[in-house]
Amino acid sequence: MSDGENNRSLAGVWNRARRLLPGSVRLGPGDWGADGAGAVHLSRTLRPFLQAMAETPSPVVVDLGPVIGSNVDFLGSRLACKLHLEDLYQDLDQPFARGDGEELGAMLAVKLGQAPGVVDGILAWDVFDYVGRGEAAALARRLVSLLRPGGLMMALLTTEARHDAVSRRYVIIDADHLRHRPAPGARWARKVWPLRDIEVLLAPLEVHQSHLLAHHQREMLLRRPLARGKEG
Amino acid sequence: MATEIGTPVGARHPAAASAALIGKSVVVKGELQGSEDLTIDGQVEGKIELRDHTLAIGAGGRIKAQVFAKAVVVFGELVGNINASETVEIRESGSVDGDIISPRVAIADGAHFRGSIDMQRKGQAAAKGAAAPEPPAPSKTPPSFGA
Repeated sequence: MSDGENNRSLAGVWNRARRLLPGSVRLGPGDWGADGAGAVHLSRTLRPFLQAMAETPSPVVVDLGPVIGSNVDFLGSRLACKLHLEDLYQDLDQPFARGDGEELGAMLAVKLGQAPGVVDGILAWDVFDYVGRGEAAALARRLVSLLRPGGLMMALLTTEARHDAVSRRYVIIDADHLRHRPAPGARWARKVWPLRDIEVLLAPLEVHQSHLLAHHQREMLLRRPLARGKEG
Repeated sequence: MATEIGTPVGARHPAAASAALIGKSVVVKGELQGSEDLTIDGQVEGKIELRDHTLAIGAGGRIKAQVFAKAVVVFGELVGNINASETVEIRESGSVDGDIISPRVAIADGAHFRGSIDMQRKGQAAAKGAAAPEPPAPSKTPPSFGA
């Protein structure tokens, strides 16, 4: 088999695999959909995240993404929650955020100033894709400390290293779908976190759910373990 | 008159059409109270209380205040916390730095917001405060997230 045939064969296998993998319901060609508004992709972890929050009385939710009015409306109308909006994406492009994490850690202590153990859920989106190990460790420490026992963090992790000219904003369409809307960004190199590394990074959070999706993304729902004696 | 305002808020928000007006050249420092709708296109620092009425902050409005109202619509800038018994709207040109307590909050694309939003219904917050940070107990009728 020639190289060309081999490549075509591999492409065919990949395309068939994509159809079988859970995940993609693109509205149009390309990563950003036909109209540039962003493709809509299936989400496997949003529904269980929302369900857990709905079962929590007056949940406290931290959203690390940019302010998106429709998300606020969705979360407010479904959960009647207290929502802390902290757009970390705009900070991660600052020079201090490219250091060893100490300065970022200090900034996070101010920006994510909630008392430890009071947050029921964190929408981390894909913020870990854009930070180095030092910054990621500082961010993880802060986020883990915020979660109460039993609290959940939803994280999206790319499975392919790439350098996009834009970052993504995640617009909640419904409990099962997110629109990946493009947003301008200066430097958006996305790194791939091996699963084991992200587990170590976010310890003691436990992987509650992990889904590898066709649109080159792993969705994870991580849970802070209950205190001993509270399980069951 | 609404026509004298740099940005005719009333034209865009019906609730502000017949509201009292603080014009763009007016600066107020202190406490504002009222029992009618109010549109602010000037500067206010302090506290604003319109418990049963609507506050509209025009595109020229610059507010540094704690706000208590039934409904708040922001086209301009507000630094301070908002407590609205019904709704808060931050329009595309609007900017809010502060915490919002309101059962209904609408933020337009392009608007600036920094802070927290408490959309808990009346009575929920008190219940939460009384509860220790224990794992969630499933409610009898949790909301459904059907497609």
